Amino acid sequence: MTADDRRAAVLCGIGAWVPPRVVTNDDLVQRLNTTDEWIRARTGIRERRVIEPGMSTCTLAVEAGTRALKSSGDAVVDLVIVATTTPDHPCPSTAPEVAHRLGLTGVPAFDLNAVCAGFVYALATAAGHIAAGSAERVLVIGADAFTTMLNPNDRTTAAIFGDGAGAVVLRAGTADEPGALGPFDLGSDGSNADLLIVPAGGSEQRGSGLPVDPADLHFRMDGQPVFRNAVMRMSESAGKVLERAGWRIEDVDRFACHQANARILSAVARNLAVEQDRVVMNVDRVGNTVAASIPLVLADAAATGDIAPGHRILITSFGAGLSWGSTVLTWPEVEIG
Amino acid sequence: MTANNTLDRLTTLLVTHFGVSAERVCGAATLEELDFDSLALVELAMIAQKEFGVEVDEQEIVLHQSVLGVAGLVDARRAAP
Repeated sequence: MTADDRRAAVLCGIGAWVPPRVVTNDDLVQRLNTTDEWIRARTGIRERRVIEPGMSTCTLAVEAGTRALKSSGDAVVDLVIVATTTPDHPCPSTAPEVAHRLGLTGVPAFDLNAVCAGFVYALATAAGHIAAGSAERVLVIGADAFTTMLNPNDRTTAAIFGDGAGAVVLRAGTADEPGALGPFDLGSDGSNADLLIVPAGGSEQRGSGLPVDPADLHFRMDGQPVFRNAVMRMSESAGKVLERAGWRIEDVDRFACHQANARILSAVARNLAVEQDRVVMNVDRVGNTVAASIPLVLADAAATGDIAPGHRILITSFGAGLSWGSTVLTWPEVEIG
Repeated sequence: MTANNTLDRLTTLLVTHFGVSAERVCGAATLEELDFDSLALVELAMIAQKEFGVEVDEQEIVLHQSVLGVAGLVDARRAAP
């Protein structure tokens, strides 16, 4: 392999945090008129973490960000990006407050919303800043308190999501270093925007002058077409990024797929011909944590040793928008914060 | 002949891909009897598309449909001009 000294974004810190409150399937079954077995069969989820009063997306992001900075060995960065769909307020963005609470007041900070694909979009954005020379060290956080968007009585969504955050620190380095983010594939399809949607609360409804139907303030999802699109888009995107990286599927040691639902994970892995033992998974314990999903599962797997230095990692994600994105990296020597 | 061939291939898919035990799969068995749910219907539609090269929408396959019925749908789609 020839040396590749192009400037690249290199992962040098990672941390994650979930709130302490555990909500098991048994806690939900009575209200949702379902069973633990039904939830597990359809989603693979046993329990999820949920915020308590006094917490918000900012809380989650700060906890994960603190750990990632500590893991990187340097508390200073020159850009903070928070991927989230559940900012603390519609205005302002959450990232400046996160930066402030991390002792980074004054550093450029902004939110990025690409829902479940948000973390991969944020990685691509951070990598672009590093490649362009407009940043040297970037803190990228995926944080969502998505349970705040749910109708607690809707069993098609209430059992699926959990709250949490994960974060990484990227530094300027070269493309041939372990930890260097590889090529990206990003995409979107707005023609299917209504498949995963919170219909009200935004400018469209507010501008209509019509009263709000409270049901429209909750997230809703059309399960079957979402399943089809998730499997199709993540399989295609993963294939494209492998081709751009010059990797074959058998080169992939670990596959980190958006933890949407265990059934989607299995279907994508099968499509790509990745054996189940190469698929990293924590959806059973945390549910779908939206923008936090990818960094959370990476941190979890690295903490247990399932992901180890030298492992070639394929990352792919998909979510509302529709939006999807993929990238690859070779896992570096890094302590988990 | 074609129908039998499709049924055989579909039966194989149900066993290998969906983990249904071979003894339980027969033409008359409904997808519901084989423990399918709405997400499995989508997967079946996507796999049928790959395996048989025909467009099958998950809306066209329902839980009370028999395995033979699904094979018939695939064949009808293949025979369509």
